[in-house]
Amino acid sequence: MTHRSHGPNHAVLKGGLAALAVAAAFAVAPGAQEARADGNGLIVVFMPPGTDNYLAQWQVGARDKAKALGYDIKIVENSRDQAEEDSQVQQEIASGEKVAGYIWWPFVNAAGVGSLRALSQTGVPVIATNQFPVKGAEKYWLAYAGVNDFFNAQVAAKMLLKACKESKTVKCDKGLIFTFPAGYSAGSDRRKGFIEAAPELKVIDTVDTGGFMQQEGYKVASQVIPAHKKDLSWVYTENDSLATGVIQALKENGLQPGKDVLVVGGTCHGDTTNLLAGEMVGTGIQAAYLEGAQSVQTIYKYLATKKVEDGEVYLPADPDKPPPDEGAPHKYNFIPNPSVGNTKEDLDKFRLWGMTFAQLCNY
Amino acid sequence: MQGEDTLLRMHGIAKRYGSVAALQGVDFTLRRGEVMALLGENGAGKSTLVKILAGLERPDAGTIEIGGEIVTLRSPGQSLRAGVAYVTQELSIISSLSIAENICLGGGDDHFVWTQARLAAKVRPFLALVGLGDIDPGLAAGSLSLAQQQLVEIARLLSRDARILILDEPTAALSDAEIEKVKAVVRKLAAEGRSVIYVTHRLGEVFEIGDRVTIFRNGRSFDPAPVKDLDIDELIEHLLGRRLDQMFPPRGAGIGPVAMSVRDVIAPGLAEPVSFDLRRGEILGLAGQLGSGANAIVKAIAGAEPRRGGTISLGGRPLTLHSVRDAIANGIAYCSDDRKRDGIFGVRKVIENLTAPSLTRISTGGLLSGRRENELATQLAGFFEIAVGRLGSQAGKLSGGNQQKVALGKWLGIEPSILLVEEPTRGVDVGARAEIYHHLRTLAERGLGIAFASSDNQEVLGLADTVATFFRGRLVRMAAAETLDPEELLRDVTHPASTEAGGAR
Amino acid sequence: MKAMRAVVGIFATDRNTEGEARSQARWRRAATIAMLAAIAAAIVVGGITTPNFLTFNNLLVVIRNASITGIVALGMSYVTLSGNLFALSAEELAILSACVFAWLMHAQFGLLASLAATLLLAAASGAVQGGIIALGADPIITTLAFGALFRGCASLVSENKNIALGSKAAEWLGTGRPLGVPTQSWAFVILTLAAWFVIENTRFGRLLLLTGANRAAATATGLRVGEAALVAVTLLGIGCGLVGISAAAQFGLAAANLFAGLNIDVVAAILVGGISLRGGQGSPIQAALGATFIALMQNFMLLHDLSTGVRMTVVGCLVAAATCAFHALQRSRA
Repeated sequence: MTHRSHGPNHAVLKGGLAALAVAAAFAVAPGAQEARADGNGLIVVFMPPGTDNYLAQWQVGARDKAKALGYDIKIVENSRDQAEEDSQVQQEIASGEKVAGYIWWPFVNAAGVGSLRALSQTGVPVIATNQFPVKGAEKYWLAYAGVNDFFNAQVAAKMLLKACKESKTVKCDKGLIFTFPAGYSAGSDRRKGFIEAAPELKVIDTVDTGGFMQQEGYKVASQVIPAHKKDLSWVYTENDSLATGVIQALKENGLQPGKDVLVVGGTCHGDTTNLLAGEMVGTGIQAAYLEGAQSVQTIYKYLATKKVEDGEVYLPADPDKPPPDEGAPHKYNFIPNPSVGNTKEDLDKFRLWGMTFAQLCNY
Repeated sequence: MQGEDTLLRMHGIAKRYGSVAALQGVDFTLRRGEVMALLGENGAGKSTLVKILAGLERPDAGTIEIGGEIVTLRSPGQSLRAGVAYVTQELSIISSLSIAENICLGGGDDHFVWTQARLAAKVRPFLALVGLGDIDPGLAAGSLSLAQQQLVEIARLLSRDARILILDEPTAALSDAEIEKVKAVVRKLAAEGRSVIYVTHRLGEVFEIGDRVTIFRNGRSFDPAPVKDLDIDELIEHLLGRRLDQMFPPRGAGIGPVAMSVRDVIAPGLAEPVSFDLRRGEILGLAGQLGSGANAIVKAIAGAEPRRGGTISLGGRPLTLHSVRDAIANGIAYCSDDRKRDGIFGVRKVIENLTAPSLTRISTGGLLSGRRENELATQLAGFFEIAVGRLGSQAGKLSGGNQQKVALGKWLGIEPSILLVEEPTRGVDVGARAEIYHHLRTLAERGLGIAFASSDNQEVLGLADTVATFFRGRLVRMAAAETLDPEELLRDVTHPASTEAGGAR
Repeated sequence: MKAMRAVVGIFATDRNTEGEARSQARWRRAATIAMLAAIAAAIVVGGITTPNFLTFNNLLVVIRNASITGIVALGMSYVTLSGNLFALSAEELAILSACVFAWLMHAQFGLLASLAATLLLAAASGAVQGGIIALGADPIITTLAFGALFRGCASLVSENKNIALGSKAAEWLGTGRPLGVPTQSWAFVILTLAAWFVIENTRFGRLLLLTGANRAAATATGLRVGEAALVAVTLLGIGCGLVGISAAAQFGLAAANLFAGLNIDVVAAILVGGISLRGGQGSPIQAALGATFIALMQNFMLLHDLSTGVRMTVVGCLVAAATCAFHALQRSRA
C-alpha cells in the first residue's frame, strides 16, 4: 500500500458506503414501500423483522390474503426494538394516511400497550396478532387473530402424553422444559399451557435458553443435561428449532431421543430430519402463513359486518378448504393447531385448508 | 528576609516520585512586581515546583505562604483562588467560542443571562491589560494567532484576579514578532505590581525580561540572583554544572565527497528553490526559527512532505521520493521534531522500537528471530548508551533524552547513508544532550552525512560543520560553522534584511 | 488514608519517567494473570457451590460453548490490536457464511467446494472492509454498513427459511469429537495458539502491534500500515466463516437469524480480557480467556437456574467493571 492523499479516497468511500447502506436497506425490507391507495384500502402491519423465518412466512400469508381480498398492505418492521416500533406507530399516525385497518404485533407485549392505545384512538380497527394481548388492554384492540399459545402447548403436551403411553422403552416421569427468553409472553403462555395439560409429568427444571434457535437450544442443553441425564425421561421445548439443538445435546450425552427420552416441540419448521428419525414424538402445525392470512381476514370480516362476536373461536381445521370470509369475527380468533405424527406417511397425508405439510411448514 | 514586598515564599519543598527525589528541600521566593525567570535542565525540578504551586501536584513536605499566610494548594481551583494562575504550553482556548466567552468561561459569573455586549464590556479591561485592547471581543478565538490566543489565556487568568502568573515556556511555539508581544505584556504586568514566574529554556529571554533568576539543578535550587549581576557564561555554568565548550564534541577532520545533492527543491513551507550539498562525514546544521523553511526542506528530502520541484540525488543518482518508505529504501533516515507523535511507539518495548525499521533484518520468511532481534537491539542500544536493562521497558516511560536516543538509534539498524533530524535535542536534558551530540559526531566520522534542522542557535554553532541559515522560506546563506559568529547567525535567522539575501553556494 | 497513599505511591512510581518505570508489558502480564486467577476462583467457588460444575465433562462443555464467541474474538483481537477498535459486522458475516455454506451444500456443490467457496467469500468480505478501513475510513461506521449488507444478503440467500444442507458430508465438522473433544473446541484451542504465535513471533504480528501502538510512528518508520487493518479484518472474516460453517454443519441447517447477539458477546470477551482499545497492547490469549471466563460465568449461572435477564445483567456488569478498571488504570498511568 503506497502512501496517498486521503481526500479523494474519502469521497469515493462515502459514496460507496452510502450505496451499500441503501442496498442493504432494500435487502432487509423488501416490501416496505409498496403502498398504493386503491381497492378496499390499506392495511398497515407493525411487527418485528421478517429476517426471522416465522415472521417472513407470516408476511407471505398476510400478503396473499390481502391480495385476494383487494387490500393493499404495508408492513412496518422494527429491528427487535419496542422503542423503534413505538416511534413507527407515532410516525404512521402523524402521516395522516388513510388506513382501513391496523395489525399489531408488538415486540415486547406489555411495553407496547401505549402504542396499541394510540392506534385504537385513531378509530381504525386494530387487530392484535401472535402475541396474546396483555390483560386489561382489551378495549384498545378490536379482535385477536392468531395462535393460541396455551392451546399450542396443550397440543404438544397431549402428543407427548400419548407417546409416553405408547412407548415401550421410556416411562415418563421427570423431564425438562426449555423456554424462549424471559419476558417473551408467548413463551410463558406455552409453559403454563404445557404444565396445565400434563399435570402427571414432573418438571425437574424450566430452563431459559435466551433464544429461539437450535444454537441457543444446544448451548443451554449441553450444559444442563449432564446434571439430569439419569432422571430425564421427557423434554418439552417451546418450538422445534430449540428441540433440534436439545436433541443433539441429548445424543452427545448418550441419550437416544425417541428411545431413552421423548422430545416434543410442537411447532413445525422446514427441516423434518429429526422428526422423521423419530427423535421428536411429533409436531404441531403452528402455521405462520395461516396466522398472517387470518389476521387480514379478520379485518375484512369486521369491515364487512361492523361487529365483533364475544368469546373465542377456533377456526375449523378443515383439511381441504380454508374457512369462509363471511360472518363477523369473534373477540378471539385462533388458528387451528393440529398435531402431526412423526412418520413419512403422517406428513404426506396431512392437509389443512387445502395446504400440504410442506407448504405450511415451509420455513 | 526580603522584607514586606515578598509575595510568595515556598520553604523546604520536597517531592519524591517513588525512589527518585524530584525536589529536595527547595526554597523559593517571589517579590511583588518582579519577573522571576526559572531555569533548569529537564528533570531538574522546575516544572515540579511550578506544578505544586499550581495545585497540580502535592508536595511531600514544606510550606507555602502567599501574602504572609500559609496556604494549602491541593487543586488548580484552590491555587486560582489563592491568586496563582498557570499558563501552560497547551492552551485551553476553545476556538469556536468568542474571545469574551473564553475569558468568562468557568468564571463563576453571578448573572444568569450572558449577552455579548455585557461580556464584551466585562472583558475589555483585561484585554487591554494584555495589549489586545483593539480586538473585538466578539470574534471567535480560533481566528486569533497562537500568540494572541496565549494572551487571551493570560487575560482570562487576570480576570480571576491572579496576582502570581506562571508562564511555562510561553514563547516555545511563537514567531519572533509574537514573542516580542508576549514579552511586552509580561513587562507591563510586572510594572503593575503583579508577579510573574517565567519558565524558559531560552537563555536570552532571561536577560531581556527577568529581574531575578532561580536556577534548578538535580532537584535543588540556587538562591535567586539578580539578572544584572550575571553573564551568559555564568548562567550556563550554573545551569549545567559544566562549561559550554564541554557540551559539543570536537569537529571532525574527515569530510568526504558529496553524498547527497539537493537542487532547486521547492516544497510546502519554502518560498524559493533550495539547493545545497551534503558530504559524507559532514554535519550540516539548518538553522532557522519556526516557519523558516529549515524544517520544510528536511521533510521534503525525507519524503514526508511532497516535493513540488527540483531534484535530490544520492551519489549522483536522482531519487524518486514519494513517501517516507521511498526515502528509507534509499538509505535516508529521518527523525521528526515530534517524537511523541511519530518518533517512538510509546506503549511498546524499547527493543521493539529499536528494531521497528529493520523487521526484515531480524526475520526469515516472515518469522521473527528473537536471537537476531536481541543482537541488533543490543548493538544499537550500545551505540547510543541506552542501558541494556531497559530494552524490556516501555519506551514511553523513558526520560526525554532516552526516548530521543531510541528514536535516533532505531535508524542505525537500516544502515543509512543519510540521517535527517529535526530538533535533535528538543525536550532532552543537558546531560543526554551532550551524549547525543557526541553520538551524532561519531556517526558522521563513520561516513554518514547528517543534516539537522534546529531553532537552537547554540546547538547549530556547536555541533554543525556547515551551517545553512533559513528565514521565511528562504535559504539565507551557507557558511562553515567556524567562520560564523553567534550575532551573525542570530541576525540571519531573525531579520536577515541587513545581510545579502540568497547565498546558496 | 494510608492505603490510599500506598496506592497513589504505586502509580506515582510508574508515572515517574526517570525512576525506571516498570513496563506496560508487566501490566499486561498482570492482567492475564488476574484473568487466570479469576477463572481459577470461579472454578473453585463454582465447584464448591454447584453440583456437576467441577466435572471434566462440564469443563469441556464450557470450552465448547466459549468456542464460537472465542474464535471470532481471536479475529476481533487482531482488529482491536491494530488500532481499529471493533468490526461490528462479525455476527452478520458469520450468518452469511452459514447461509451460503448451507445453500452451496444444498445445491450439491460438494463439501470441499462449499467449504472453499464459503471461506473465500468470508475472507474476501473481510478484506474489502479491511481495505476500506486501511484507506482511513472509520472502522465502526464501515463495518456497521457492511453488517447491514451481509445480513441482507443472508436474508436473500436463505429466503428467510431454514436451509437444510441435505447431506451428511459436513456433519462431522459440526458434531465430531476427535479424542472425545468437540471439533469446535479443538479449533478454538488450536486457533488461540496460532493467533498468539502470529502476534508474538511473526513480522506481521509485530507490524500489527506497532501500527496499533502508534500509526503515525509506524508510517514514519516505513511500515506498511495499511496491511495491518487489511489482514486483521481478513483474518476476522475467516474466523466468522469458520464459525458459520461449524454452526450450519452442526445441525445440518442454517437460517438468517442465527448467532443472535454474537457481536456483543465478542466485544464483551475483548473488554473482559482487558485488551487495550487504543490498540498496540494485548494478546489474542486475553480475548480467548475473556470468552472462556464469560462462558464459565454463564455456565455457573445456568446451573444455578438463573434466567436470561440475570445472566445478561451479570455479563453486562462484568464488561462495565472491566472497562472502568481499564480506564482507571490508563488514567492513573497517563
